Amino acid sequence: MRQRLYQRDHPDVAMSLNNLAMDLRQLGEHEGARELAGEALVMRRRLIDSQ
Amino acid sequence: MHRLIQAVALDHLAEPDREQHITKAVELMVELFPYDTQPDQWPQCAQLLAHAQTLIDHARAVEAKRIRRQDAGQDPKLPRLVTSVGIYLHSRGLDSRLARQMHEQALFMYQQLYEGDHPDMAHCLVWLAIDLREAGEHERARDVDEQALATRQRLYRGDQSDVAMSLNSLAIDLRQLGQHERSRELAERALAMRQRLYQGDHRDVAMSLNNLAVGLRQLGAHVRARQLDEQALAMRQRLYQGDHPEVAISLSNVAVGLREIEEYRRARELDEQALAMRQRLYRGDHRNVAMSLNNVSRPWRCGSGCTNAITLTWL
Repeated sequence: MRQRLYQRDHPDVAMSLNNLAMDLRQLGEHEGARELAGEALVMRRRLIDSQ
Repeated sequence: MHRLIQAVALDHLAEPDREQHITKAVELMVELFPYDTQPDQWPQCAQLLAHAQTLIDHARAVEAKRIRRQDAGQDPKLPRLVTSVGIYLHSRGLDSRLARQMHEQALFMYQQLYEGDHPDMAHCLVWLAIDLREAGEHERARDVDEQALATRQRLYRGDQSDVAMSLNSLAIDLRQLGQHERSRELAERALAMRQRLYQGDHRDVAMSLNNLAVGLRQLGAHVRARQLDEQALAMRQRLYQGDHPEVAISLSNVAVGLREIEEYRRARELDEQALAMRQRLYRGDHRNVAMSLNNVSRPWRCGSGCTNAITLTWL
């Protein structure tokens, strides 16, 4: 739990990162999209592990 | 330790009746710990969390003794406190598994306490359904929400805010189970009831607009879904100043609609706002929360006003 608190993870933050990645992909900003989608994925993995 | 609790504890030290002290402390903590917590109350909850959790452990031990003695007079305040702590843990995204355990515990306590329907028990059921839904257990969530709705419909006649809330919650479960038409019907009923109950802007009306929009989108009614999402966002922005989880949800949902009509630039702007808001909201003062949880096992000492360093090991 402490790990999760310090990392500031939250399911809604992960969802927002993913949504923004979708927008960037549509706007042709593939590098930024990949980065955000990757961040969302890592956060979701941490959230699952912490449960 | 909160000074009120400290005061009560100190008052009773001459006559060390642990059970009585704990019952009194639960009574105070129920008053202090917000029931349906909102973000502006999170700092208060964070400060109280460790105390509340430790107190719950002690109070449960007392309850167990009472049950063994076949002593009637269980404490109805305890399940209420357990429910509140669970709601906070869930709402702030701190620990959804623990939140669920707390709601299950509270429900068990209510079942021992009340033979018939009780509003607090229905409230606890609604939160348990939310926990179950988050864990992906949609069928159980639906069963629990149906039980809460039936309870509330027996308790209240006609339009009533808790009945509307249960209709809305059940609509979400049914949608998750793919029963879109039935879900939509319940979501429409919940919205209509809330619009009759409240004039103008209200948190619950915004919640219903939001929920109905999600359902309509899944049924392919994209235009109406977009309209409702925009109404919900505008209402929430009027209702809440600054950052709020429900405003963030609406920003995200309006962005979904904008992607549908390929307005990606505008969608991006709203998604950026939602992300920034959520990062600020869930950053909170987590350091304090972590510290307070870390402190649970430590005994509490009274402040500098005491001449004798009294250790209140039960709290």
